[in-house]
Amino acid sequence: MISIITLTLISLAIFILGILVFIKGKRNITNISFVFLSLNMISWIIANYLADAPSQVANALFWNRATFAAGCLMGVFLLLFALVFPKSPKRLLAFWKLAIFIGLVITILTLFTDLIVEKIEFYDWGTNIVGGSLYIPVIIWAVAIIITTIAILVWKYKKSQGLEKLQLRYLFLGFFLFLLFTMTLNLILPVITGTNEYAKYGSYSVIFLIGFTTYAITRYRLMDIRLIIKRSLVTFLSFIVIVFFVWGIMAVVGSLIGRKPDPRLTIVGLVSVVLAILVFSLVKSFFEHLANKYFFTSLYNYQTAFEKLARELTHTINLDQIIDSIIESIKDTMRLDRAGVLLLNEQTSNYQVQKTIGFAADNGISLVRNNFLTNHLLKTRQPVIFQELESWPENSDSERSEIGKLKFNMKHIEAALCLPLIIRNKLIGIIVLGNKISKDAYTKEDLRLLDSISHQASIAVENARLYNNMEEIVDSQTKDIKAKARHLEKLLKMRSEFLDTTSHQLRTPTSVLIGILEMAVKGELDMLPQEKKQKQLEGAYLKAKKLEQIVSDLLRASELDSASFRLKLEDFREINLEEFLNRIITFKALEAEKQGVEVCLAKPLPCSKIFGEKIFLDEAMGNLIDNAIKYTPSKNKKTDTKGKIIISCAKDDKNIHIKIQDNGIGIPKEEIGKLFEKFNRASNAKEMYTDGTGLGLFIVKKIIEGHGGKIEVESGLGQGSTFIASLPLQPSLKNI
Amino acid sequence: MIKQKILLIEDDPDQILMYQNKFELVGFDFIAAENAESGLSLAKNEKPDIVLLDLLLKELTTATGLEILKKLKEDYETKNIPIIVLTNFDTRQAEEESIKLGADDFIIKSKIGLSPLVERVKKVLDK
Repeated sequence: MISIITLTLISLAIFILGILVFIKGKRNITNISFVFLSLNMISWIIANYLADAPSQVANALFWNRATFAAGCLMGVFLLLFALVFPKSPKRLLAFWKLAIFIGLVITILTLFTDLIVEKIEFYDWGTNIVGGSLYIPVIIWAVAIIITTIAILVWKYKKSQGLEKLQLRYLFLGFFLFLLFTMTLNLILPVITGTNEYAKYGSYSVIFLIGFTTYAITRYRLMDIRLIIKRSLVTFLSFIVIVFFVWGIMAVVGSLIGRKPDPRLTIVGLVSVVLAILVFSLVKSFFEHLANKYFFTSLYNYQTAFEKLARELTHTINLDQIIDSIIESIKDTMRLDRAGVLLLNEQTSNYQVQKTIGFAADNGISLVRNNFLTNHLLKTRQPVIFQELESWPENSDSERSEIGKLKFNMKHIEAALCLPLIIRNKLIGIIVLGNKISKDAYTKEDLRLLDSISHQASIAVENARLYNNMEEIVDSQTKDIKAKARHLEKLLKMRSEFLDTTSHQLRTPTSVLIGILEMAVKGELDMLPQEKKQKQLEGAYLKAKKLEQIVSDLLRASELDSASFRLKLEDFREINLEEFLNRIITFKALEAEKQGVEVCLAKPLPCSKIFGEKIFLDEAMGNLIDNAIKYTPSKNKKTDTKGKIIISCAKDDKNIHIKIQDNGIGIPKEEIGKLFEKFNRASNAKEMYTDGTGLGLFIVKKIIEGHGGKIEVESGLGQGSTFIASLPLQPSLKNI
Repeated sequence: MIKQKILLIEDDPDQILMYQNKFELVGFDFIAAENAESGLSLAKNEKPDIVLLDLLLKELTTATGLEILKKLKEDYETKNIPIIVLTNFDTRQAEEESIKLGADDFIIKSKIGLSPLVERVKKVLDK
């Protein structure tokens, strides 16, 4: 009965595995070969069973022949499978046909003639075959096929790598287990039990071969085979040793009480032992679980608690979560009434409460750095335990009082233990724990766990803090980068505004010159009355001058802006201050008159001469006076005063200050800082004068600074402007 | 024959003078405005046949050239007067805006002589 069930189960299992492999790759030749192999195995197992079955005595010859034929075919299919596993080479079809043909011939000859299996002989344990005239050649052929198969597999194994190698290892493992079990059942068990009764079950172990091969074919990621071998071997050997041991005891006891060993009883005993081994660990962990639940006061799983915490700590970088995990894990594992964490605040140098559970809220525990407790924790790197404070050595009065204070404090907040969190010789925090709910003392085991936890916790806390710091840095850098990007954007906008303005400025005088010259060429100018003609020509002249002004501004600005630009001391000359200023005022008189503003020089001057490069100073002062004229209306509507520009000078020990003061439209206060930047024009500048390049004051600043001086401005919207150019009285190499 | 009347809105007196000389020589009535306010009122009261409009006026705080254009085109009294934008402000944006707001032509002053400008004006007037 058991035999039939085993037979059915094993055959069914092999069949299902075959189907499974087939479904995974219906067109894959490897999978198809495997299906053939497994079907062949099933027929072999069935034939092998029936050959020795008492009910089939009449057909015993046929079933023995079938067994033999299936065995031969198995060789063929194994060879074919070895050729295509794990990957199939091309052009195998002819070989396939030949191999199957030979297999079929041998099968037919075996089944229906007596050339190979002539007859069978009956023994008390079963049947055996007697070979015919072709028996020996067929056996040789079969052996040759098996050797070829093994050779192919070994050769493939050597050549293969990665997944293929692993797949082949699985195949080998299947073979190995198949052989191991066959040999156990055919050799070892007969020796032990003295009968050959179980030999017929040997064939069932092909399930190992089929099972492992199925796994190798169907799974993409395979488990490391060495692990499986190791585990199987360890388990198997343990079984064997225990089974032998038990069997030995049974045999000894049996002989002592004078009873003959009953094989069935022996088997039942051994199976019970194996079962006992199998369920032992399950039962043990179940009771351990129960015990932990009801005897928590003294029992907890040190390793599990620690692993769980370590896992949680690696899962987060959030400081609050880390602290939560630490507190909850310690409190729950050890069943404590309270727990809390103090962390060092770098700014205040205090250890402040990060989180507490169970402590009275109004205790407000907080510690300063470098106090007795923290120093002790850092020095010993060991937890401070309240109950052990009694036995601390008191080397001096101050120590005695410190220990006393500590005792009082710990008692006050009902803390039983302080655990240091130390990273690189720095106490970054303290874990403060209360008493166990059971009122038991902290055991050695507890302290070992706490020690491990404190290492883990220190690292996790430090990482989280570093991460937070880094985030802050990244944040501030991001802000920085954004500000820079905005600045660049502004520069680009200024540049494009500059290009638009400049092209407009260059075109305006050009268009007038072209227009008037065109009229002249066509003789149209001569058709105008003399007065109009004269005015027109004057206009053209002014526009030409204006054009020259813009071009030289642009050229000058780019010259001054180049990195290599420097004024040279040897080019500096003595300049008569009064002449210098008067000349510029005269030069600008026409424009001032046109604008309707008055320009005057305040006297007396504090000195008669200055030093510098005259062309540049001319230009700088010219620009300043030009600006004053342009941005001063003939009448200031607010104050109802006439437009006026006053140039005055003052002197101190080292510098002369030339002041150009107007009562014009002024400059908005918030824009004064940017006034001397290239291409920058005050927002209200366009009201008075459209054509500015935004270069004039840039040029002024460069020139004045090139002389070792500085330029300042006082102004406000509608309040007029005062520009003060300060130049050193004695320019030297040092200050230019 | 009644002379056709041109209104130039332009802030630079030198240029006004030049355009006035040229257009009067070729037989137009010519009036000019130096700011937005007088430009708008002249357009209403004088009923010019065409307006030449500079985009960059000094008094940017009161109205840019484009705003003048918009106002002229919005006012039922002036909206049928053809307008040529005449400027040295050479950006595609300015041109697109001008055409969108209803200008009949967009001319860069420095790229065109006075006689070709007269031709362009006549062309717009003939439409």
